[in-house]
Amino acid sequence: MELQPSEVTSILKKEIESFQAGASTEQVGQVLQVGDGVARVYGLDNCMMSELVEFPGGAMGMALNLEEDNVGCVLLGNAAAVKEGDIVKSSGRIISVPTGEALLGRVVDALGVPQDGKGPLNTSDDDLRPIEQDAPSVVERTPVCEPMATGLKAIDAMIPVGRGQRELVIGDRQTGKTAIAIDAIINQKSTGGGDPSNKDQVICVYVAVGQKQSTVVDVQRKLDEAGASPYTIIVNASASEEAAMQFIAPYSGTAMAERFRDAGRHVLVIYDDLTKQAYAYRQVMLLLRRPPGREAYPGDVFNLHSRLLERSAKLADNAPEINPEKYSAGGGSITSLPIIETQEGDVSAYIPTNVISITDGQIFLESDLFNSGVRPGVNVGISVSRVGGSAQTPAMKKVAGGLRINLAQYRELEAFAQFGSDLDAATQQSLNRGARLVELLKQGQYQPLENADQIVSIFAGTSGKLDEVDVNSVPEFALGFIEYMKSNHADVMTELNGWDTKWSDELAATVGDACDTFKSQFVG
Amino acid sequence: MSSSAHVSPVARRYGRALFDAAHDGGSLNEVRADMQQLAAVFADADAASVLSDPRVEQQRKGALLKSAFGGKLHAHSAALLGVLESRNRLALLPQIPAAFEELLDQHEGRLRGVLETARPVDDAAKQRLEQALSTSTGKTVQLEANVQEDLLGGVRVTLAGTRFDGSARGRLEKLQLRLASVEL
Repeated sequence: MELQPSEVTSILKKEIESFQAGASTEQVGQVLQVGDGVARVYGLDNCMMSELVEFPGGAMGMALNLEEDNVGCVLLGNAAAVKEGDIVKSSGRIISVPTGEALLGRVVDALGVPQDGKGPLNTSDDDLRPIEQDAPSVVERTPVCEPMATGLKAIDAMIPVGRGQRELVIGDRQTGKTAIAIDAIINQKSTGGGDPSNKDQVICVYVAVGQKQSTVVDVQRKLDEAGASPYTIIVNASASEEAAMQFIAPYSGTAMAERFRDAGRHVLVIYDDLTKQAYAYRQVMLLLRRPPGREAYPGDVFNLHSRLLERSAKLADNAPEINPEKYSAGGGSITSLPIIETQEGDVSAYIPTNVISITDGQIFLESDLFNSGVRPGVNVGISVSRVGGSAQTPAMKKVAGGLRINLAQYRELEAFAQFGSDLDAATQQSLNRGARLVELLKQGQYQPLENADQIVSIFAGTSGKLDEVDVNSVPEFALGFIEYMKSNHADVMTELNGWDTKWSDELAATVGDACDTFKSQFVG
Repeated sequence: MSSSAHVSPVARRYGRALFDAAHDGGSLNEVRADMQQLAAVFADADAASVLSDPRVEQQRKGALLKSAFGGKLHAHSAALLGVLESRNRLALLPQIPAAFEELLDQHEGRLRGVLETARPVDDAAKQRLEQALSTSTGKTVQLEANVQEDLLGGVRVTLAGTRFDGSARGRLEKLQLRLASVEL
């Protein structure tokens, strides 16, 4: 659009002519001391908890400690400009972020300010939502019943995640935690073709807390390449931002997700990662002089995570009848994949145990597995999904039923077999099967598989069809078999992609025969 | 915001005790005069710093105060010095006049505020403003006039944590915000 200078002038002139500025009144206070991203303010008598306050020079702050004679505020952005004696204005507004479809495909900071250089969000004041919200009540919820497919065989088959579930992804550094999250986001494209206006499209929110800026750029680029950006919001509070921004970012991301959930949509939220959020929270709270507890975290660090993760829920279909002010449509959900980084695999540290106890299951990633080429490096023995089983498709449930047991037996025998040389036939067979299953569950990054693809390849493994295939050729065989099924039995694959399809004997026979035929052609 | 400096909660507690004692003993005016005298002395930062100097012994501080004010103070004020000395709290003394003044203002229904203008205002205008604010707040308003040239024009009053901004600068800032948010 061509913009004429004269037009601009006339618009501005109109604005100036209609401008009426009466005297204004505002609540003010004065900075007593400031440092390390925390300011103590005298005055601000009617200040509310988590109220946004305004410092000179455009810096914002959040009131966190309302004390007898002063207000402790954390600074959000441009903290260096604040000095002692500055006048602080209260905004009368609890800290809120813009929400809605305008954010899709954008990268914003913890206050919802765009960081991607794609211009302003153009959201109105009606789109603002407080970052802290109550979790849905008991009557507004319903048990998890629909699958939230991650596209990863190892997870969807054995540790299934349902919509509305909180499934922790936990592991040391460099074990592929973020990779799982990114794959899960990319896989959501299959729910609605990547078109956010499609009601079935799962919306994704990726909250990066304390990450390297380069990592976030990488994630953004990968999502772009995979066509996942149009339905994804990235909330970025990178390592260089104030600790306060890092600790509120997950709440901001959740507020954005809730807007969609309350309208009946399904949302997947990734918190990457909550360990760093806890670090940031600890820093802020120590500076505010709240008493430290275990590992110097404040006493409410459990609540920090529990109130965040409680907001992930599956809503009942009749939620709008129960609470018409909050919900415009029922049946929406927020699924969250919080990520926790452990040190040397120590899951008994404070934050990991807290989050393990809050979530509905955990996916353990191990460096040893990852480094030995088992990727994703999921330790299936100690990974669980406490509620996801009821959200698995019947066919997948049936086919993957024996997988976990087979793998557990394999791990046990594998350790045992290292001692002895004479193994009986049954043991040998178990070992063979196990080795192939491990190979089968390996999966490349950014290659999520559909439900049907996963079912047929896992069936090939658990039914013993792979036993004669060379171990090293198993991944290739699995991919080839999926392709073969797609081109020769497209109807079966479509059927298996349905959520209600049962694994009938006929289906088993068709897939089994197809597998035999493919095996006869396969040159490993 | 009151014009007084920041008063710590502990000093406020001692101030409250002194005020209550003076109020019950009917010696508010005498104690008030004492406090004004103390405030004048401790307006000098050096005098105040002696009291918080850890190198000076508590008894020495007490003796110093006695020699300076001995006999000139009302019994309640003198007792305050004794209590502060015995509790090792003499460092709080410079803040107590302000705390006392706050309580006295509350008691007498007085509000103190700051009036900022670009040019000096005459007393008549100030009184009119005080009158108007007194009627709207229901308390006796006392304004301390300050000249702030960067206001350009108009007045700005800060009273009990609320700022009434009728200055030219305030309006210009609002206009700036408005024009910056115009959609073209």
